[in-house]
Amino acid sequence: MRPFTVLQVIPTGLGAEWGGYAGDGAPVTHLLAAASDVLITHPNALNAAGLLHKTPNTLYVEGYGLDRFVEGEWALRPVRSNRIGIILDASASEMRTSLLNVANALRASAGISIMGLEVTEEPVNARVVVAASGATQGEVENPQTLLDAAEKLIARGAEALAIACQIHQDEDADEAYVQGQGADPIGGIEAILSHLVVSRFQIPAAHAPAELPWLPEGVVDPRLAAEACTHSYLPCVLMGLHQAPRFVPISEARPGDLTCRDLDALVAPASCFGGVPMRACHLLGIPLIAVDNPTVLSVTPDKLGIDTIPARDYLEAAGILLALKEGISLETLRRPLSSL
Amino acid sequence: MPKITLHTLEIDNPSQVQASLDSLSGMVLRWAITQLEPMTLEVVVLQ
Repeated sequence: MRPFTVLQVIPTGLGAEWGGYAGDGAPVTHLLAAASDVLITHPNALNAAGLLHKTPNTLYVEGYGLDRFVEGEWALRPVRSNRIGIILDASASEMRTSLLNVANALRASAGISIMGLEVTEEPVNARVVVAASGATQGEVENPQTLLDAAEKLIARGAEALAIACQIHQDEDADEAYVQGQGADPIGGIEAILSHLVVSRFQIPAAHAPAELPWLPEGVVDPRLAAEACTHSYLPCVLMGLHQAPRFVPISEARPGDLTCRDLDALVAPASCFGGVPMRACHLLGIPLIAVDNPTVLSVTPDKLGIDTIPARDYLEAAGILLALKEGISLETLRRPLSSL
Repeated sequence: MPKITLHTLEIDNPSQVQASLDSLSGMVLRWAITQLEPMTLEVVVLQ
């Protein structure tokens, strides 16, 4: 029997109740992974600043690559490890020493292969834009300098890239977020920066803010606490990229690679079904589990004409996955059970 | 010099997504339907 393979998506920058903060999607990700043979997810579901908890059967796949995967353009090739290069935005070059200490810590304590750090020649100038929908997005003035730094690291042997940029935002932009009440203002722009690099070079990448994490006064919302107890945002990205699968054009896929045809189910918040993975999985005809995980959006599958299996929470979603995995008809698990 | 910018487009239904994306010059990095009334597409483009 081939592995039961599940895709979990918690879109970035939407303030999801589970997964909208700092690694607070990890416990539900573990739960879904326990109900799967292989769970594919993306950095937003797992990244927790100085922490990253990921089960061995969970694949850490950047969002742009995930989109190409579900649309059938790229395959995923599992690896034992990647050589990681770090890109630092010139506008945060004073963080170089701090990030090198983080990198050395992960080399020494986790055995992660990190080959170097490259500072961009010019500031990237990435800034937050909050869209009318409430989703956090972003714009970038100088993407080319980021691509130039990436190219240098790849020429020196980097197989995956950790990106650390300074993110410009209004002073009070994260006021609601730090109270545990709003979308992470930088979530969208972080996704855009990694999308840029992955789209150009087709290698794993992820973004962490370059600056020091905020220092809270008092005890913070537990969903945010990972950001309040660390010296750097970078460790989770290095831990995630360490064994992130590589991207392969679908025409070059070989046995052992994963393609979208291997997917058995998708799990995503019911309030944000308007994105690429949900539409692509709908077209693939696989079961779509829509979890009641509120976000700032209200783009529900019923309003898009997409049939799903609703789940009240991730506990129910995990049960549904187990039933699908074991071939148990969902209707036989519910009451009343109608007669034929 | 290329830049990355956010575009917000109104569409009538989801079947118009691809045509709307194709109408933008540059490389689409990220898109999603983010509102239903009016149906709104947010697109991030490198151009």
